[in-house]
Amino acid sequence: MATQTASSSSDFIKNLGKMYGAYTGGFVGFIVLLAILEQIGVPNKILGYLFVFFTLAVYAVIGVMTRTAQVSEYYVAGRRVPAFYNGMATGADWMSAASFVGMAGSLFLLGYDGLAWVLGWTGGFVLVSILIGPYLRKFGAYTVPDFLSFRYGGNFARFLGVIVLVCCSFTYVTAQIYGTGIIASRFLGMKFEIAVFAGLVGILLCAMLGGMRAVTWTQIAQYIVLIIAYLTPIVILSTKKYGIPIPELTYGQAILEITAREQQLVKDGLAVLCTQQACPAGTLRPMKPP
Amino acid sequence: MAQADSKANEEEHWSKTTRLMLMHLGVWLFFGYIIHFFVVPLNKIIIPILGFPLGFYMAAQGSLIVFVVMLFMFARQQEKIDRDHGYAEED
Repeated sequence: MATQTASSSSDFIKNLGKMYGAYTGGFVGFIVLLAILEQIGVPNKILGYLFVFFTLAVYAVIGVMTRTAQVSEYYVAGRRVPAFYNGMATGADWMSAASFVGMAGSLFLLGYDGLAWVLGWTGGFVLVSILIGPYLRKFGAYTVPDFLSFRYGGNFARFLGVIVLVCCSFTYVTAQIYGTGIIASRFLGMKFEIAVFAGLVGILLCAMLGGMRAVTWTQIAQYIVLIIAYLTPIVILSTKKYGIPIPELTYGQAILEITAREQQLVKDGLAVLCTQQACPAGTLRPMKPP
Repeated sequence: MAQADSKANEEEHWSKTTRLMLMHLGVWLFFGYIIHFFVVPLNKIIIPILGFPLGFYMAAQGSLIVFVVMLFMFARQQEKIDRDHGYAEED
């Protein structure tokens, strides 16, 4: 019995590439289908419903498929998610709702200063990797407070860890839930206050049955959607404007043009430049520092 | 590899791990904070082909690239230390 589950789980790991490949194909096909429906003249609202139900269905299927009652499966996905897929899941965390709803706005509003978020997020992964990563598994801990309690002994260290975690995740979750609410209300046409709870129910359904196992596998599915959704528009824009389909290379050009445009606006008397930390309403905060 | 539970082995493993950690923390501090203190003078330098002001570039892409490379390097180096001292996980 034990060997049977072990072999079936290694089959599962082996087939991951095939599974997610098929999923990506399905996703692209679904987008093409939506585009065709839109050309035929199906109203946007129905397209929105279709999109939400498709994604929810995928996550629900993954959630149900990966449901588990084992502790180590629930908390750490059995510690056998391949590194590449774990990276995809973590990447999806990096660019989840808080990023794609919040980040674009912060960068638009704050310019260069907004990049502090990008740096903090990415630099944080380095810190976690250096200070916690190598030891969490060796200690066999499920969570960071568990590890702190093993390492330093007693519950005081654990308590401090919990406080830090709650502070961090509260800020993060606030942004995430807000993003979920905005998205759900936009696509489902509900009021924001109700849409927040609709989104929460969806998250709960996905996460509760399978814990970390379900979250990791749905995050990988989400990563594929996100990476396509991020890259498609920016590649099209970059190709149209500069003729190079690699937006990373044309980024600098865009910054220079925005800066020139800002200076033109100031020169024409259309905007008042603001260089302080807190800008009064109606003033222009430059995109890049001088 | 041999004497995994000897005291000397344990201490050497830990001192190597500590040194690796401090090195990476130093690089992290430099690219996470210090280089961004000098954004205004660095912006005077324009990267040739990209047309990117260097100070802005470091925050927008440069530091992030360094961070990602660091993540890969750290994982590899720590794995090597663990393997040399017999603390690696079999896979």
